[in-house]
Amino acid sequence: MTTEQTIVREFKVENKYGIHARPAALLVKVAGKFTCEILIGKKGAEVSAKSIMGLLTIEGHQGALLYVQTVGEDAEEAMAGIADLFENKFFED
Amino acid sequence: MVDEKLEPLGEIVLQGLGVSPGVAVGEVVLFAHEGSSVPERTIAEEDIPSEISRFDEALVQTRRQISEIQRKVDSALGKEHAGIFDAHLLVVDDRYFIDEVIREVREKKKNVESIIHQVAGRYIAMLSNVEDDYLRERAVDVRDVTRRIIKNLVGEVIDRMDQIDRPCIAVAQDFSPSDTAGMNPAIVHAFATDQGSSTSHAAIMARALEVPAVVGLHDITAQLSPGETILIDGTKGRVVIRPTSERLLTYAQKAEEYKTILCELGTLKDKRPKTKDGHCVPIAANIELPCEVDRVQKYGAKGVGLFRTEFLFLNEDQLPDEEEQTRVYAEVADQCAPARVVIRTLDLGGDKLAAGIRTAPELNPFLGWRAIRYCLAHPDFFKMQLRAVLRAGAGRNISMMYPMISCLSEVLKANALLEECRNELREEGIAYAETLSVGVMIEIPSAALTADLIAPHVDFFSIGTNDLIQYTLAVDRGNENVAHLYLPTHAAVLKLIHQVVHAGHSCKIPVSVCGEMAASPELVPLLIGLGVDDLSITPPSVPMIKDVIRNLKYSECKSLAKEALRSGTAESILEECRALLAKRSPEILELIS
Repeated sequence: MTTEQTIVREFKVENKYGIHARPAALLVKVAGKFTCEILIGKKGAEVSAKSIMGLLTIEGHQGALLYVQTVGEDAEEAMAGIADLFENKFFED
Repeated sequence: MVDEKLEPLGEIVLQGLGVSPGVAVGEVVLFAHEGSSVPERTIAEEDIPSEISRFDEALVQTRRQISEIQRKVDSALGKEHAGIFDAHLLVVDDRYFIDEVIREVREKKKNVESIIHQVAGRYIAMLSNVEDDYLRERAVDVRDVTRRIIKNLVGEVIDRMDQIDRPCIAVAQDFSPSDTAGMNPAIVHAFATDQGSSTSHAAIMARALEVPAVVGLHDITAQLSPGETILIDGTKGRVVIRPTSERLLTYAQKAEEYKTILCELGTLKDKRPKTKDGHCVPIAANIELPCEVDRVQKYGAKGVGLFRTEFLFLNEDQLPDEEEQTRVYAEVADQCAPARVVIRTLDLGGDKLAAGIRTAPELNPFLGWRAIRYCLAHPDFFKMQLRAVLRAGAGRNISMMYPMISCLSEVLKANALLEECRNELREEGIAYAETLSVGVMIEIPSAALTADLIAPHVDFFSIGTNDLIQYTLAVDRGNENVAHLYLPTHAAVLKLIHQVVHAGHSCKIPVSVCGEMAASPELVPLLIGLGVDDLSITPPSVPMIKDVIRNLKYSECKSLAKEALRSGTAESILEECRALLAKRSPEILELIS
């Protein structure tokens, strides 16, 4: 077995306009650097963070709580990359 | 576009309603209004790989286009504005979205553009549930990119007629008056539409411009792509998408024969439409636009037996007033003089009137609020037309007829309004026609059956066979499933015509036919035999019908009709009609079959 691991975290959307097209594009670009599976969204209604079309449909307004799950070898690094985006308000405000 | 080398798609033959005769072959220009539907077609199992490669190529093309736009926006407005296109570019690379589309192409076996449209529609639907207004706007991004991909798949679609710059055949769901206004008739060689009827605007324009047209094809816009070759047979109401070379050859030969015969028929222009045994059957012309008057003389018709006035009410931004109508009617009559012009009062439903008055869409417009029914319900509106006809009729050879009459009381009401108009004009001291010949269209079975009651109150009958057949047999010939039941030689139709002729002649009023039956070389001998006095047909049909008449004997027409009224099936009567034509005008029978 490989070192498959699952990490789960919850993030609050801080930037003013939420996960609109530009933050969604940033998420896809970051997610694309990792081999692991990355799911994001409301719990139970997650989409792949590697799919822009999926990301464009999530409820990601300011103040929303988003559930993120990374599954795979580089799950930890991926989660760190995603966290960086949320913590920096997607470099927007 | 990308697809020629990938899919050698076969010929498709579609049957619609031929509304303007002739044959044309050309390249399709697809004419669509903003936001109109995406073509959908079923594909075969073996076409799936080529469908997927079309998708790949469209994605590559889309990526190139978006990068180009991004570069331009970046240099013009800065990185911040160009950033939005990062998201658009990611759509083109979105494996999840791409795989979803490919999976559905395989499962549903539909063309890829229709699948993209569906998939994008689902994403957009999800977005509409998002509560945040700003985030809901992301639908615009999804729509923007997916539309671009679809556009790259479907090819160039034109949304204004004046954008057309090369010879083509214009195909659309339907054409509005404003669509055709900017059209250059020298390069649009034919029309084909999904919707429409013989009275729709596209049909009227096509006939006036003498270009072949087929309407009521349901989904032709979905079945073809811009740039494909298409054959339009407006005479038979047939459209062939991607015709085979054999078919093109057959049509080319036919077109050549047609030309030769028309050329020969041209010499008949000044000859009289008289049978060998001396019976004369005058032929007048049906026209819809004033400019068509030129063609009345050109094809050797005597006057106008049906001047449709709908165009006046379709083309204008506002309804034409009495002065405008008077001017148009007078001009047409002056150009035809000394021959007669029969003006038909408005034959439209309220739903079709361009400006001012509109009614709700009807479940069954053919049985609805239209023509005389609408006019009698709006006496002020109707009187404007009646006054204009009366005024134009002063010193001119003008007659008038009411369409869609179903009972005597409608005739009496219309005549009473006409009398009111006369009195008003007299009081106002305006010149008008003291004795205007007034007739009715017989196109509803109830009017045909009571023609003897109506006859004493009118000056002539004009049988509109298209509607009479449709109403008598309860058949919409635009409906492909029942079109074969639309039988002009059905005994019921012939009996009604016979009865109308009898009723008319008993009151010493003439009976003419202005429907398509009167332009059919096979059926004209039958109509003559039934006692019809004169015919009114589209100008280009005049020479051929005149030739048919000149080769006939009135006596054999009478025996044909006598036989037909006794015989059983529509098919056997048609056989008899063909046999007579084969004997008298074999070259014409060959040409039309």
